[in-house]
Amino acid sequence: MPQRRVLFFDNSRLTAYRVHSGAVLYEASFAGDEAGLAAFGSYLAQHRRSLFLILVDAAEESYQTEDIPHSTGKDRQAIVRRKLAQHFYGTPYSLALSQGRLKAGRRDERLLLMALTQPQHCEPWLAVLRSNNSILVGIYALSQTIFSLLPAKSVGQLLLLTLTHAGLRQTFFDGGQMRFSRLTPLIHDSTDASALAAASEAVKMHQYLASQRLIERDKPLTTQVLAHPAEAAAMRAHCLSNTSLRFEVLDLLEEARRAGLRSALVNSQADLLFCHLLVKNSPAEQFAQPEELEYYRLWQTRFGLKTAGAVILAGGLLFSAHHGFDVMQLQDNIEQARQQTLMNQEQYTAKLEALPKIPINTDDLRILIGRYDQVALRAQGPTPLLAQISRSLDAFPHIAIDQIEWGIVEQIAPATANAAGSAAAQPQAPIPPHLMNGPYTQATAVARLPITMVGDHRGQLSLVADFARHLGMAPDTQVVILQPPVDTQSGKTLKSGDEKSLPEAPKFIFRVTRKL
Amino acid sequence: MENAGNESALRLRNLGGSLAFLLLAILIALGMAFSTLKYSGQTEQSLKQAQAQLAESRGRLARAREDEQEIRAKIERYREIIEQQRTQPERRLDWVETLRNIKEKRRLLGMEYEIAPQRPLDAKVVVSGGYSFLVSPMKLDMMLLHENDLLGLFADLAAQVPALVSVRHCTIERLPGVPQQTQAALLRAKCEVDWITLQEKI
Repeated sequence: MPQRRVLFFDNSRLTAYRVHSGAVLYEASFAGDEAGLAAFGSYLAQHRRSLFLILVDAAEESYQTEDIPHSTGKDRQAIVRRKLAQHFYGTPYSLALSQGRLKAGRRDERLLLMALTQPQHCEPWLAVLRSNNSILVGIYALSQTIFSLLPAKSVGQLLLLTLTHAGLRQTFFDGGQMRFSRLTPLIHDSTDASALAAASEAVKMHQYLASQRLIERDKPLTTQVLAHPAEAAAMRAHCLSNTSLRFEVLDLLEEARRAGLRSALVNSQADLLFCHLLVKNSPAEQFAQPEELEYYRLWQTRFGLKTAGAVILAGGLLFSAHHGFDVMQLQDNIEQARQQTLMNQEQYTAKLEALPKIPINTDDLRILIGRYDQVALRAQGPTPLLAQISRSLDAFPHIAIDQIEWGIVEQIAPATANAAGSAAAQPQAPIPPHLMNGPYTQATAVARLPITMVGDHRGQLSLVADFARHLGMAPDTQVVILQPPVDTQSGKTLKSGDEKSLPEAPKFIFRVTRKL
Repeated sequence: MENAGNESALRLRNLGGSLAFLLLAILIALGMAFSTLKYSGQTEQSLKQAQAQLAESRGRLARAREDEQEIRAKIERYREIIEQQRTQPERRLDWVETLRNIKEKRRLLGMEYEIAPQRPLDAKVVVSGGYSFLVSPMKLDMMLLHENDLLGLFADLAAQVPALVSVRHCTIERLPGVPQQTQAALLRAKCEVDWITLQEKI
């Protein structure tokens, strides 16, 4: 953080304080002559990176109250500029404090116009600041800092008397708003002289405020005197309440403690407290012209850029740290998973190690045996199926086989026309679910019925059906009559036998398929 | 104009360092964030892989008992194959002699065969589990008194030769004519038979 320094200026001298963490440290004091200005220049050169705030505590101040129509933006700025020019012609050091809107009439906005009416007193010091390219934060009147001493909810009228090395300042507040302030330089800064001045200046101030109709004459005005405890007795002895003024002595040390000042105050002169208040609660309004603040604007921009950079860098670091932490946890999880996997693999391997040893690994073994089993399954030969057909032929001794064609098939083919061109005798039966997947052993046979059954078409069909039923009783077997001995379908030609020619034994073709 | 130019230069000089710092901070923060995200993504990917491997190993371990039984059974099958000498190189001379012996023993009426050159059983999968399945197709034409002669031939072959004898196709038909008193063939069989052997691939 940059160092902040307050340049406490009265008409005779400029005193420099360093303000840091609630402590106000005296650094130097400069007279307004040529030597003092030169020393001030050297002082500034030593503190190029410091931020300087000028606190003016001078008698040459002016305060005016103005009510202006409510407006905003450029219109308001123009009105304020015009009012300041009207009241404070000849000084660039003026400002307007908004004190809210009136509750009656047009609800105008009330402004307190303030000015430092003798700019020539400040000019030499500002010229030195400019020549040293010092960073000026602003020029403030001491009355602006007194506001911080008011109670949080001050609504009545109050006259507050404060002391600095420049003199006795009397500041009048009405409804929590400053209305007027003035400085009375003191020739003697003894306790009694200060107390006497406080009593007498309060009376004068009361008369002035009453003449300005800011207070009611017959109503006592609360007058608070900010005094060091060591000097409180003297203040109370001289500042006696009457029908016009009701005096109260405020404990300066208590107020300083409440404000967070960590430097010790040795008497009622509260210069350090006001320097502290100025840094702690810098007022938004100040007297310096924009060009005087150019280096401060640059500093603000630089500070903003650096802060933004630092925030971005910190954000990046935090983001990376957060994700880095997540990554570490992930890596822990990965390591645990790997360790567990390794243990599982070792256990699995140990189980397999106990198996009899063979020259090939288990994966190759699985592939080899799987393939071999497939081949072996298809190597059963025709014996089982032919034996099954043979058993059915034994049961139906009148049926004889002329030809049989056997093979291994992967799919059950639909019943098709036979070699003689006859269509399938039976409608294609759906394949049962348990026979859906091959391979199959399959035989297609041309069979013959006894010649004595020529002409007995019904008997032929019945015998073939019984034979097929018998053959299909074996498990996982499907029997299809591809060509019946007599084709009785409506779409076919049905002829009688030729009685002149030799009779021929009725033939039929069947296919038997069995799942391997 | 010259003053304004000097002031701009002064401002730029004043702000140059801060701007450079901001830019550097942005670059560093972006670099860190990008690197962290990238590394984080890679780590998450690694975690997924590790978890998948862990799940697989757990499943494998859980199936270890079944696997053990399965592998034990397969080892038995493997030993049978070795004992049956299926992995021995084919010995055609032995096969021919075995065929002749069976013909004589069973008094088969007629048998003609033709064994084609050896080739891989499956052209698409040349090697299975470190072994090639090789096949020598044989065409067989026989005259039979009874179909049991054929079935007996196949049974004898399967029992006597180390190769796996796989009958692929057979056609058996009754020969025309009336049975005679003398021994004459009643049936004719044409078959396609594969002699299958295994050859280890090194």
